Amino acid sequence: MAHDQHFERVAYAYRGALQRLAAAYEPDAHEQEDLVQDILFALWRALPSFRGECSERTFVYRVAHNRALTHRRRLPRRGEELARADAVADPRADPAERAEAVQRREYLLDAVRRLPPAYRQAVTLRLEDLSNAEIGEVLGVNENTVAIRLTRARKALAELMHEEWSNA
Amino acid sequence: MPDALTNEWTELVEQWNAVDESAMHFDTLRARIDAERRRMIRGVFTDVVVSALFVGVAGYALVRFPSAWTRLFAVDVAVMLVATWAFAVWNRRGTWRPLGETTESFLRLARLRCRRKIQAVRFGVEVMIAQLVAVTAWRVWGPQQAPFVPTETLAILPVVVVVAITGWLALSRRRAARELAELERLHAQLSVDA
Repeated sequence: MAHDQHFERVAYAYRGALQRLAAAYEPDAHEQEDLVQDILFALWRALPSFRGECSERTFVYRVAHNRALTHRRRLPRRGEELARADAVADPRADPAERAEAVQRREYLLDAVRRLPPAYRQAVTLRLEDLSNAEIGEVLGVNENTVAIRLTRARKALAELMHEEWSNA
Repeated sequence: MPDALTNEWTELVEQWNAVDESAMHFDTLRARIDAERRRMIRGVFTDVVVSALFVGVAGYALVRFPSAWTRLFAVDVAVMLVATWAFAVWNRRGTWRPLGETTESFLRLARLRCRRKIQAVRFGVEVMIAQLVAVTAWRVWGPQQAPFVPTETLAILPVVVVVAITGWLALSRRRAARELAELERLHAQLSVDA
């Protein structure tokens, strides 16, 4: 089916972004996987309505953020144990460098998760390299609002990360 | 954006991406999609079958035990079915828009859906009360032994049905009200500076 093929292409293309987004909302690995599944499911339902009025990227992030915002923890149903995929090892990275990068990313993620939802959304999209205009399109707010949120969020993020470093 | 701020973000973007992508397994998702397809078909099928069942029972009663009381019963069933289907369609107006909307409109739609669920529960209570009144009137003024209720044991059935439906309605209302409260809270949090 064309719809299923389209969906699989989108899912593969955005899998990394969706996993990062899920990590910004859920600290637990299982919950992250559950959220990714929820987002993909929402995308499967939403894709037939995609008419190209916005870019595919904007569309995917809209669905993903909307789902992430309202995602509620639920226990895996019987027979629906979520298999946590093992991370694919990057052979280029030096183990020490890699460990440090992972640690720094954990601090960043912890800080992002502690931001209020409005700032968390803006920051997550900015970290995915979206422009202020694109972020505005995803969230339904104007560019000025995005700029204000990002400035405040950046400040809050710096404080939170500093706190993480100090506590470590 | 000033250069200093751009650099800060660039550094954060690097940290953000400093992790390997996990492989994704689509088996769980495919199973869920298939389950959802089955659930949608089952939902429509159940509504149609329940309605057909009511029509069948009323039709059978009309043919097998023709009387003024069975005609009244058939009218009651017809009114209930028409009202329920009409309400179901009316109550879904404006809630069919796609999922890929901005966060603002998504939340507005999600809250609307919750309010409609609460409205549907209220309608369910009203229909149930109307039916209770009808059944009570039937028992008081109607034929002492309804022709299509053959045993006394089955007389307890309406009580069981009423209790089950009341419980289900109360649970549905509580769930919808809780969801609405969460969405309102989320909306307030997201409107900090919009």
